[in-house]
Amino acid sequence: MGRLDALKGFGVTFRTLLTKPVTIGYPEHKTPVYPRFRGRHRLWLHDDGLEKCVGCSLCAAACPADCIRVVAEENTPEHRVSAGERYARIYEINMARCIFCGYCEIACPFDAITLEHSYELSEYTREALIYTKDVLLEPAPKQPPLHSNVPGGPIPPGEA
Amino acid sequence: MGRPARKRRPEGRAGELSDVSTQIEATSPGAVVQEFEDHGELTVEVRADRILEAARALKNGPSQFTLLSGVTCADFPDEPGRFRLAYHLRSVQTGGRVRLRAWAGGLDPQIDSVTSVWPGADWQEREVFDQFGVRFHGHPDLCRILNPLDWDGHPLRRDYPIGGEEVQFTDAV
Repeated sequence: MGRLDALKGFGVTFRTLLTKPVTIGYPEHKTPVYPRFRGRHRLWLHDDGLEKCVGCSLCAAACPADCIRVVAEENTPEHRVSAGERYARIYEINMARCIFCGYCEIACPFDAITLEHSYELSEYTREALIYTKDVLLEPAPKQPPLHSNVPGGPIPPGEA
Repeated sequence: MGRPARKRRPEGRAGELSDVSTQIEATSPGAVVQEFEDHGELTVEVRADRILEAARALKNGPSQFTLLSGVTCADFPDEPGRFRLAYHLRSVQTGGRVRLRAWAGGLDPQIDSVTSVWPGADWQEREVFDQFGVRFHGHPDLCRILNPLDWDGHPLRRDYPIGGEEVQFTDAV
């Protein structure tokens, strides 16, 4: 190792000082996610307001982390919740155990559950991470941006 | 590089106890159960009820084992003592190393805490308690350190179910 090698190292440092950083300044700047990104789950309704989920538990059976709990109940003429014979009276997902693989979405024969794009899911307690059916039926409160606001950043898929 | 190799500590002649065991036996006769040397590492097994005396002898004695590197535990379900604790000691002054071993017992594993001798044992013993359930007498604050405070069971025990804890849901029925 000669003195010249040390100066070469300083040269690299100096040149790097002059280049533009590629860091994305989260949370002020966010990149939108790819279309098939697997984020927070969502339970869907038909247009007439009936739930798509019939409580068949195929999602719970498919889940590798065993984090979905489904308790089904018969639809009665007075109290009809879903479009089929039965509905999911209790539907819970433990997001702390979920691995976001999307197998529940693949397994569902009724397209009742999909994984949307929301990924900002931090909570202060473990109990708050157990999503119940009312939470899952609603769209996520924190939606990721639709378009990129990263200045001079790469153009996200689907734009331009 | 260009430095001379470290001098090895002279090994004891076959049949004699090492310096470490001799020091322990001097202050606490009958404490040393066995000792052996393997791959250049000396291990001294002491009775669990004499661990505190052994600790004091080794720290304050001529070996000056003032540094406790760590307290670890292993679960041997077939052994009568079941939980085998290991105290790894180092001497900053002499460069010496020794492993102190003690069996903490099966059904209700307990042993004296060595925090009064080496304060650094505090969190180490908490971890052993958290993962194995060994209680340390005289520990200033023996509570779980890795797992949630309301956790049931001791995860590193051999009979802890693999993937066994129930996934938590709400209490709705």
